[in-house]
Amino acid sequence: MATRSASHNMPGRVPLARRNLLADPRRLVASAAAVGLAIMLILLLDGLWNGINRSVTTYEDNVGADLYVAQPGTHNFFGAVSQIPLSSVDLVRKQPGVNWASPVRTFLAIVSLHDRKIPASIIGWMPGQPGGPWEISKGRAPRTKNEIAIGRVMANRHNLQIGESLELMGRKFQIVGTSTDTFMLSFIFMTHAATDQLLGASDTTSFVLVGTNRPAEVRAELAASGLAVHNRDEFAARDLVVMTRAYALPIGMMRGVAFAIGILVIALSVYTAMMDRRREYGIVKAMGASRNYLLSLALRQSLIVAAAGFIAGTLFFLGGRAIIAAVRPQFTVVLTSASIARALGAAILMALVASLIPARRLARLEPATAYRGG
Amino acid sequence: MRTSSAINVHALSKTFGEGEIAVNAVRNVDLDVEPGEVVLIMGPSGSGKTTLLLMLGAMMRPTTGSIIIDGIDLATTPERRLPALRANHLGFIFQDFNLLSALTALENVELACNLAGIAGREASDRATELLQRVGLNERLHFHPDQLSGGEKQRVAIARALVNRPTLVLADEPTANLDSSHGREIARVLRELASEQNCSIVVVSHDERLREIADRTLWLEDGAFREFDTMVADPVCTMTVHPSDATPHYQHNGITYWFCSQTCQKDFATNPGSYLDRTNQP
Repeated sequence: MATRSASHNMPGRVPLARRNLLADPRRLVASAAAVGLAIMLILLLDGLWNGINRSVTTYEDNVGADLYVAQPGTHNFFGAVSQIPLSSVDLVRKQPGVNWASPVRTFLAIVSLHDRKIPASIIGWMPGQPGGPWEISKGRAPRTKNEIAIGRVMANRHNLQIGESLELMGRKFQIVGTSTDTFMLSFIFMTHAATDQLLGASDTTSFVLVGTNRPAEVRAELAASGLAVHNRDEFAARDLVVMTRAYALPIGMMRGVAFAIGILVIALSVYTAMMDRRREYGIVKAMGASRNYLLSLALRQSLIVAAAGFIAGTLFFLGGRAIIAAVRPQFTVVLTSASIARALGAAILMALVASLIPARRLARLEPATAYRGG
Repeated sequence: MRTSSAINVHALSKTFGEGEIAVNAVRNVDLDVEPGEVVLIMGPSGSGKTTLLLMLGAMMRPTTGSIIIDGIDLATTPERRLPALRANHLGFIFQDFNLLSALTALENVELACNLAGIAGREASDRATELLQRVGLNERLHFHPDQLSGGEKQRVAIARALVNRPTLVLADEPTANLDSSHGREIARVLRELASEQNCSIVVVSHDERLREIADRTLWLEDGAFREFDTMVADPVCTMTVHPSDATPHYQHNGITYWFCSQTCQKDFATNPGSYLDRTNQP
């Protein structure tokens, strides 16, 4: 007589893993909710991280420059000390292929507001040229040396109104508008001439922003003249490293904790579900279930809990994001397809890791447990 | 070896432990079961019945001897091949029914097919047919907690037989059933053994099963004994083998034998109330 082996991937077979989990719906819902919270945390942290990244590169993303000309040795836009002659602008404009060139001065300053020290990124540009605020949400852009436009988040957070004065580095400026900014970077836009006065550095600038359709050729030409030239992606990447260094570790740790919680919850849920039915699994083993069948049973149960947790986690995330948007609108939570893929990958990995212990216990189970002692 | 036998057991022994603490649970047992034959094995608790059943069911390795089913010696078959052997060549009926609580009656039977490598429509058809055969056509989609004890055991019988095994091992199949359900289960077992030409080895204390058994064997201290010398305990009616070690009691010059000290004490308290229930000596 032939002996057939059961394939654990056989279609049309009794869905024992699903039935076992659905037999105790309250436990399944509780497990899915707990895993869902872990997935939500992973998605929210990922979303916040995406938001931070987007915040940090918001200037580079919106200003529209293809190249940034800077002092040799300069590697990033924010926080860099770059000073080049203002005449560099004319040099750049003369290069074939350059559509436009505009000087921008940037430096970090500490603003005292209501006895608090607020770091802000000062950007000085030539009104009418690129490099200034790309979107004015209220009021208008500065035109004179005594006017500034501040970021909307900063204005809301510190209740600053258009028409009010703000002291910067010992000089008073009038707020004439609010612009788009982010919780990571508070922008204060002023004229390039105003920054010349503040720093006492006339005839210089920090960067020359360049618009061109031939960035590679223009870059090569300008680099040959001794200037540092970077493209948008290079600056964005380095700014990200500088600005997010402080956040990377805690967010990474929180992601790790969420992942570990997810694993523990799935493992505990599947383990207890299996131990509750230990005798039944002994029966299945006595009836001829192979080791692989039992391992796949443990894995399937873990995957079902993880899948339910992933769905719950996505719903929790959407709710959490809505709450954050309502309560703390300055925090941008950005959900990307990569974030979803990472969370799904995390859920699958959780299931794989979590199934190890129950699978080992099942593999060790004696089929004789199906019998009474005697 | 008798090739016509469904199962051929030769010189089967199982010893637990070694040296002075060694316990011989089964000693040099020989057993041939013909296709379609129902063999009832009786014996007191601790006599080695379950150990023997576990070895016949390929769930425990014998210390010595052979168990040949369909030409395969279970005693020497590699461990990794035993699950497939159990799924294809053996069927199991347990005392506590041991149905999977999350599955319906139909799914419980289908699962046995799945484990033997049969799935989908074929598994479903086989399971349905057998459940209808045992009279459960109205209960196919009921869960075990919605079935009576007798119905559960009929599902268990269908599950044991669905892969058309050579041998079905039944461990106290009527122990948790009332007398009418117990008799019904015994009848179903007998009929299916004949219909499917399937051998059934039943381990039980239930005297009623002798009615359907082709042979009854008495296992005591790990070895088969002559059943003719057995007597019934006047208190619990269990069959016992009279020996110096068996609890006994003299009443009106007659010796009565008991399965345990408890039955002996109960009898000694009021012998008259038991004497009309027994055929001892």
